[in-house]
Amino acid sequence: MGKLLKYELRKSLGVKGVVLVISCIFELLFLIGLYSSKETLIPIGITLLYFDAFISVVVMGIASIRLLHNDLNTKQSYMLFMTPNSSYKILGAKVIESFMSILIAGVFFTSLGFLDFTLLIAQNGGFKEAFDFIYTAYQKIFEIEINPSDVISVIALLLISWFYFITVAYLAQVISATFLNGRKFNGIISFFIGLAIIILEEYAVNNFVSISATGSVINHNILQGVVYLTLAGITYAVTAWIMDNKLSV
Amino acid sequence: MLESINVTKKFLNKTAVEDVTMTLEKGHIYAILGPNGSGKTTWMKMVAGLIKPTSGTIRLDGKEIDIQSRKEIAYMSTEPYFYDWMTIKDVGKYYNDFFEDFSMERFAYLVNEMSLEMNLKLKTLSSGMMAKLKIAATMARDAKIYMLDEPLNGIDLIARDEVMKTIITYANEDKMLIVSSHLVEELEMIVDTAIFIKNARLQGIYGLESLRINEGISIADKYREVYGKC
Repeated sequence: MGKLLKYELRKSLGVKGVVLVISCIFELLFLIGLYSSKETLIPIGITLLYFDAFISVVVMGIASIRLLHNDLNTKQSYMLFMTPNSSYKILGAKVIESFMSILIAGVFFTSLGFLDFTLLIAQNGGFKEAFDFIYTAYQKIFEIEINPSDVISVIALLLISWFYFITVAYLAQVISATFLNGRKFNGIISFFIGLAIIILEEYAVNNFVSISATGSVINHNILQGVVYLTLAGITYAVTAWIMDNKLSV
Repeated sequence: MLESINVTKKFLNKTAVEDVTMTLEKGHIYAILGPNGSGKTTWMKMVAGLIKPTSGTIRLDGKEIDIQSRKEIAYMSTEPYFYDWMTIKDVGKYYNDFFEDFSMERFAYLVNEMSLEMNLKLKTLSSGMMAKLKIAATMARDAKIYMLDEPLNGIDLIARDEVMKTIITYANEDKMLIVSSHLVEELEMIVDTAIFIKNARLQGIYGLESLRINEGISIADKYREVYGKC
């Protein structure tokens, strides 16, 4: 599994490099604005970095799905499937790589945001005052008490949801390369199959969680996380089984 | 010993391989012959464990083919399949990472013998160089069975000679080589048995010596006889 993971990381290096270079350019804009007389560059840099963070996560997700598509539908598929590794391992390495990439991207952009915020406050003074101001403003706007454990549970749920969406996207790709292989519009059909699975399961999950979970935000998130993890596990097992039994490379 | 017992493979409405039964022994070099679409590649892929038969069984030394069989069977596809970001050395490292029977020393030797260089990027290789690299990577394994699908496709005479030399060098009584090619006359120099596949079915298996002695013909003559009226 480790060796498969190594090559999955290597294959996705190009996209990560592009994301890093673009982020560095936006960060540079922000820093130039901060340490020069061109102050208008500060909001431009912050706005671009903000959108960059969201777009980068989406781009990395799409790139991960695209990689699987290439590994199933091009001659490069031999590189994976001629090795003595089961589809469970091959798919597992892909899922872990995708999850790790998002985790690393999350840590990178959060750290960058925190660093830029610190630099901004250090340049203008009053770190604690500024932090308290933002915290109070947030509470007033959304009329909620910010609980750190709730925030952590929301972040964990987002990561688990990502894990689940990726496994469904992989299932759609595998359906396209197996049952729909050689048929017209197989890409579009498999996309809608994936979408339908997500909508149906999302509907079922929301109903189940709203009935079953009571009390705090954290209870709700834990239950939803467990349900998503279970669904992701089932989707992964079904996908790998189809690859093992129906895929022709 | 490789056994193919009533092996059939169907794709949608097409039957690619139909009821192929044969037993192949180690110590031989087999040519698997037939026109495009006759089912050669599909049968080889089933032996390599890349696809599963719709029905029938394939056994290697009595054990049904599965994922673990890939440790003992070295399959080389006709098309280039390496990742384009790789160098020749990366290809060696990749094989070394996944195949216990792969020898980096033998790979380096073969790469050198074929006038290739380890630091060459795959994007810069000609089709002939790529064909030689595929052979070097495949033959650097110490597998029980080597299956080479059209190893002479799209390469010049000099490269062909180098590929043929490598195939002969690593053939011995403990190995089984199965080679498919349209270049029947060139294969005749290295193989001892020919398997003819026609319209997805096994048409016959012929020993070269037997053909020469009993029928007074070569593989190429037999090929013309079998497929001439196709």
